[in-house]
Amino acid sequence: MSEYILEMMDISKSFGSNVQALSHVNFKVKRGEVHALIGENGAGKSTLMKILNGVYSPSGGEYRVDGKRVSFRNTRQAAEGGISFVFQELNLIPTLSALENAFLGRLETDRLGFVRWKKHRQQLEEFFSSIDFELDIDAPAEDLSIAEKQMVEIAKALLLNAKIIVMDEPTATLTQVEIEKLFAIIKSLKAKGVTVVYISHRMEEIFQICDTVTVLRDGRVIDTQPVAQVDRAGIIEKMVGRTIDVEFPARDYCPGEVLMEVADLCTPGFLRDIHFDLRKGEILGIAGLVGSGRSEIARAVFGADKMEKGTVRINGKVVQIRSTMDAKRNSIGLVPEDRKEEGLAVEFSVLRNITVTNLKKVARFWPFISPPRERQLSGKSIKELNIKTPSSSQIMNNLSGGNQQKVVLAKWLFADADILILDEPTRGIDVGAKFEIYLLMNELVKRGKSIIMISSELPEIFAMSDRILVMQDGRLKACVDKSENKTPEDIMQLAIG
Amino acid sequence: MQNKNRIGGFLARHAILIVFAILCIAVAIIEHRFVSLQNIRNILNQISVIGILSCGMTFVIVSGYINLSVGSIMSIVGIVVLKTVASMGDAPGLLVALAVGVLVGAVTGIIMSLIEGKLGESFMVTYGMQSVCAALALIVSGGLFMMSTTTGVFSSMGTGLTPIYIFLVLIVLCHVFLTQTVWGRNIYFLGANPVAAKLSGINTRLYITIVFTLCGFISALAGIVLTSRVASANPNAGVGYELDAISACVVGGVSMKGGKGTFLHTLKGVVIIGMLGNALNLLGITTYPQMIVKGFVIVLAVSMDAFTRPAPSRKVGEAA
Repeated sequence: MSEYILEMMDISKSFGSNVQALSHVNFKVKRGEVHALIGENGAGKSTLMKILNGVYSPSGGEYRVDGKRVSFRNTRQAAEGGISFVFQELNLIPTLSALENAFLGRLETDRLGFVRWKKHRQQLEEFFSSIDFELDIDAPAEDLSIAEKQMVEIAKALLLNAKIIVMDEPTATLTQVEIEKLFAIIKSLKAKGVTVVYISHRMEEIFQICDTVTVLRDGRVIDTQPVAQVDRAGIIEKMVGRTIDVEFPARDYCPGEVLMEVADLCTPGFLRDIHFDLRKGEILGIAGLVGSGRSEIARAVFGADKMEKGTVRINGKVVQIRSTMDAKRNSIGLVPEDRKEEGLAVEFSVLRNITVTNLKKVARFWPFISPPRERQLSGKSIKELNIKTPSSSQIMNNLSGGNQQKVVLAKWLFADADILILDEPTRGIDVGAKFEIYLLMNELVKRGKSIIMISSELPEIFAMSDRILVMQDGRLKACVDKSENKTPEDIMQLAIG
Repeated sequence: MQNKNRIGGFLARHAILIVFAILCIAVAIIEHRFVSLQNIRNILNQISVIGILSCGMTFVIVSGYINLSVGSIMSIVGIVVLKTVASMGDAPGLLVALAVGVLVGAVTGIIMSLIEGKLGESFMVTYGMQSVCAALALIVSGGLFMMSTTTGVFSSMGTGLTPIYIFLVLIVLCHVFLTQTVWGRNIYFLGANPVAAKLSGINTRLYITIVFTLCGFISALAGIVLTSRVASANPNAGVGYELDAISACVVGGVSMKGGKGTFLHTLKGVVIIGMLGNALNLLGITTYPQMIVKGFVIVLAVSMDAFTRPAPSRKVGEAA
């Protein structure tokens, strides 16, 4: 038996004649370890995993599983070869139940051809009770929270009795408590001899549960080392190829007078009596578990969801916000959680996505849009926010996550929004791009904009916010000021306590 | 290898046009009348009604919806216009007839915007409206065929080259509206991603209503031109026209997914569908076999649209 359960040797992959996605990658994973695979977006992580999953075939090199040379031609073969994947993008069928989803594509039948639902039900229930996770397995997937969906995905992978489980950003949508549970699961898997390849952008997780770390950059392996022998700064440096001194840029603490006051905010059946104010030039964080009502505050204030009760004052005057048009008129902009589904028309150009919020600006002879003015003004936005795109006519789908996020921000700046509500602004974005988003946020508040930031990443919300609202079950639990010298752990306590 | 791909890509992208060109040449060889001046005028006249109707349909499809009621709007408007022009005179009569189309379109649009429906809902809602309008046409006419007895503006709308002028002016106006104005841009955005459109502060409900109302208005215009051209109306006059309009849009390349396509695509589709019908007529092919041919053309067009669309980059998790 070889020491390595997975050996990928000298793997190269090119697309077309000039795109070299991977070049001579050697990636070896020891039996029973948790192996972190990290790198910025575009470094080649997903290409490497797609090769392992049988989606791509390598242009060069070979790979062995358990010492045997294999060559998967599709995901089914990979699964049969003992490799399972848990993805960041959830692949559940919304109308099917958790149970049906977990066994989709490999239902066992009895002699008469009927599905052995009883057995499957038992298997799934056993799994969830073994990890101490409560879930109504008959609920349709669309009714589950993102975290619950993720757990179903993990169950799906684990019930296959895989030798190797690849997890791609499994914690991106989980709360701290759920992450702890996931880590407990990973540890128990490890004890059972299952090998885990763990892909993540979150440094602290790597130090918490991984044994070995491999850093990819520009399609090459930069380094593979035991986690015990590396430090955070060293890994980041290897990922980005330069030194990053600080993860969160500092800014001068200088919020001005109160800009917006929200009082008695209630939504049908959920939010209750939410009070808060937002000052000019302030970053107000909203923390809490997934499903605690963070996004609902954002959507209600932005007019996307109905308010049952509540008043919003801007500059002391009561304003009626019944629709997203009302919000825009009152200079409120929302950067939604799911930028591809809710923030952008991904098949449209950068230019069209930027100008959509304020076409009046580009209509020289209203209602006719002036293409030169549109190009000029969107070009200005692209430059201002340092959006990396070959031109303003580039299709959104071809941009990286960080740059797509900047376009969503750009469109609200284009509408001259003064109050920007950012829902998970750095989700799925790599370290370098995150830093740019933070810099941008600091720059915006310096220019007098006010930001409400919702985030599941405690370190981020803790470092960036002037004040933090903590939500729990649709109620406002606490408002923590930066001067109170609280720690991220205190915030967590408030959110779960 | 790459060269082959490029040629293959070209063939796939223009498959419809290529098949169509070969067909035209074949028909012209078999039947010399196909390329005569008289026949070309004929074709122009025949395509103008479908052309006008397709303009309204294009708005609806670009917004991400479908409208099955346009044929029966034509029927009811045909009946109404004959009655009102005879009793009230040209201008008021035409206005009332157009108002009927606007009303039907607006009702459809308001329902669609209130239920915040998608493509699927628009199928059912407009299917229902089709039934209502078809029945109204039968009730108002008493199920009878009616002859036009007037001379004037109304009756000149369908004679000579007027229909084709109406079509050309309309399509140019529509094209400018959709591609050059603020409203058109919002319609595209609505079609491409209605959720993002709403969250960008676009009044999506208003635009859904506008699009269906416009389609109703244009369908009424098509009904008037048709009635004037044949100088008569019958309650079934518009039957099947919705399918021709949808085919013209899709064959021309307006995407059923919404957010993609311009009136140049519509024009291309209208010409292809119009000439195809004419060629089949000249070849002496009867109605039913013609329907089979047209049916296959639609299926081919939709398939081609699917094949030539750049495949979304597969996520690793998807079954290959």
